[in-house]
Amino acid sequence: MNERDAVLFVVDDDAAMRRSLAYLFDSAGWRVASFESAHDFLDRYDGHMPGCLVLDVRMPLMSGLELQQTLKDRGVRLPIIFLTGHGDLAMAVQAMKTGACDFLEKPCKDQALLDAVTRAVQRSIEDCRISTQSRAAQTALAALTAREREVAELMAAGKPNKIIARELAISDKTVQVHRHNTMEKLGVHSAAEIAHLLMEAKAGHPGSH
Amino acid sequence: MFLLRQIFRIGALLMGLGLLLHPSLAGTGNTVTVRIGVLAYKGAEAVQEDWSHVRDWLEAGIPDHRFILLGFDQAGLTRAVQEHSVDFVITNSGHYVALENSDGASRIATIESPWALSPRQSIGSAIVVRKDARLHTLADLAGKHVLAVGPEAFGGYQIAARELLQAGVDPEHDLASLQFTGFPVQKIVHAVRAGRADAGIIRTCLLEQMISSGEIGAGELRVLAPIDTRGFRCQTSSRLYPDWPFAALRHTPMELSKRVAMALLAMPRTADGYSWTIPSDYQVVGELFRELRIGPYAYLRLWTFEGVLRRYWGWMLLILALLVVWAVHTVRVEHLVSQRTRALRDAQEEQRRMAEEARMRQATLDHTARLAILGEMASAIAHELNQPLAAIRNFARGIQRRIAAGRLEPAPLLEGSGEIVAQSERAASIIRNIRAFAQKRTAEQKSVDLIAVLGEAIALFTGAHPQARVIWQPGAAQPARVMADPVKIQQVMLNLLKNALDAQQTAGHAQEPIEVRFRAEAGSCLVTVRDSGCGLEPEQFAHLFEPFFTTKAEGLGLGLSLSKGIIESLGGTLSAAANDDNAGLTVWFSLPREELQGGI
Repeated sequence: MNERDAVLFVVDDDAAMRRSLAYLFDSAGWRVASFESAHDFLDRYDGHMPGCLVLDVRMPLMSGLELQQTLKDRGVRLPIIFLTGHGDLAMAVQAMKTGACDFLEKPCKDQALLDAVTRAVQRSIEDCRISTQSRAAQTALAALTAREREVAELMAAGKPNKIIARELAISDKTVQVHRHNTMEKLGVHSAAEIAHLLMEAKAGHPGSH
Repeated sequence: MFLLRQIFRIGALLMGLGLLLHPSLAGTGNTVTVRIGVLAYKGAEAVQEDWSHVRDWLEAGIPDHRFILLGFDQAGLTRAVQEHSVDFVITNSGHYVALENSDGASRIATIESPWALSPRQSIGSAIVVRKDARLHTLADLAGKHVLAVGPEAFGGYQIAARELLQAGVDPEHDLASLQFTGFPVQKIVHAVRAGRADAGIIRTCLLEQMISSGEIGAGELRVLAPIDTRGFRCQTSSRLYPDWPFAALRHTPMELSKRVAMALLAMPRTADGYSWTIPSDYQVVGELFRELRIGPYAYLRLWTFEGVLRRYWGWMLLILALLVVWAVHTVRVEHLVSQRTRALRDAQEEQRRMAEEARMRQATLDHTARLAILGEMASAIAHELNQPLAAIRNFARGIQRRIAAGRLEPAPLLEGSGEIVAQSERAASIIRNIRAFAQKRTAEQKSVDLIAVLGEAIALFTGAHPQARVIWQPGAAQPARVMADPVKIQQVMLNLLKNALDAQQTAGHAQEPIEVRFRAEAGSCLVTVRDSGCGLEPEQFAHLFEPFFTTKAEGLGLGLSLSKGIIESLGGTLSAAANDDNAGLTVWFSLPREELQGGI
């Protein structure tokens, strides 16, 4: 997965603006998809494609900020670059708090916009990557039994077998068996690897930042 | 009276004719005829009787000369002097002074009468009245009927006239009547006695002579306002003047004059006391003439201001008064007319000025309102302009990037540059619209399609306020024509839409639709703008159309009042009412349809 796979989603109610942004991004070599309203975008976006959203703050019916909130609610982690006709500090703060990637005032320097887009796309790709690893880790962890998951957690915390046996009130021998099974199921060779896997799995959860 | 005068004149004429039959002074033989002209104040017959002793004395004293007495009235005697048909004259002092001035008569002797101690003071005027008349001073004669001998009579008028003038009674104007009887003067006395006149002017001593001759009874008449003059035996109403002179004329031989003078002075006193003495000083007579402006001073009467004034002062006063009244009236009418005209003109001017002022004020207010709307729309306008500018920038930079990257396929490059052209056109048209809207201009009434104008206004509004949703329902396929200034209609429409949007923003739902409806009715077009905003409190409705009433923090409060003014100036109405089904407001205006405006 790289930048060539990313798509820039332009949402602007002004057709000319929309076309001009698409033209600029296209000229810079990006794949572009344009939408004339937030609803139009929501209808057509599948939620997994990497890229970034270039959004006009002021739009009728659903504003840029409303769309941002909706996407967040739906767990879509698409970076958003806001474009605004008039620099509204309160609006910018709100947008950044909600997780906007950038906030640019129109008319902005194209290089600034393209830089922002590049940053956002890289983040999106990274997000996607993390998201993929996390899903793999979760899938692997899901194969464990409940007792094996407990043992894995304690191993990741760096606790020796004897302590684990005491905390779980089981015999050392049983801990040994669980430990072996867990490492075999997860395909790892050390407690450190288990800890990493657990972290990756947790990173995939929305709102874990 | 007139008849008597005529007869007298004819007599005088006959006497004159008789003269021609006589040999002249320069005549023939040893006997020279000397003609003495005598003023016949008591009539022609009395002349021979009164003066024959003088003639006889002269004939006796101057041999080879025959003296004849010729009686004349005053005019006749003057004529005789001028025609040289007399050689000497015996006449009254006044007439003598006149002849002295006109014909060079020169006195050689003066009568000495028994009545006076001095010949210098022996003649005056006696104004006779009936004894019981209620007349005591000369001033009492004003308004009375007075008789006199004639205007040229010395004692019989002129002397008295001077006294009357000095007493403040102008004999020519202040008397009820002044009648001249002519000679013989006794007529006057009889007339007064008979009551045919209030008073009569005669020479002094005539009354006394008539009494002594028994012609009238003593005590029947008296002399008015007698003056005490020492040494004068007759009663007089005037000061006294020198007695009659005996005068030679310019053509009278000097030698003859000398001999006559000497004979006269040598003449003894007659039985009734008359004699001749050295000639008297007649200057006092001249003074009288000057004062009366008669005789040699008659020229003074010719239209002197005082004379005219004295004679016609009544009429002049009347005419003057009429002139003054007329002038005052004219001036007043002129003044009133000019005043009214000026007032009218002022009023018209004031009205015109006020109309002009109102028009200017309206234009300024309209302009202010438009600027206010623009001000309120400023950020929206900035955004609106930003869009094409940002787009242009994006297209231009896109093209540059393509070229830099060597991606030179013509289609995208042409597409980009075409877009740039389109967007700059869009920006220019926005600026054009704003400028046209903001321009200060006088209204320009023309036939416009209301639907098209409303459509433009809505487009302008939604362009500037993308968040606003305006539902535009023209509702008519045909154009609806009204007489209006399209910019003003747009101003009203923008104002209503802005109000609607502001109200909805206040209520927290800017995206709710604003409904604009059009309906063509029988005589007018109806436009309705319905919002779902915060609405108005009932008490706010009362002030809705008042200038500077506003519910907005940043509003000027001019929009609706101006909108109403604009619509009403176009013959329409603008009203507002709360919605039935929500908190919002519906504002509507109507405009008369063009085809119903008297075929404009």
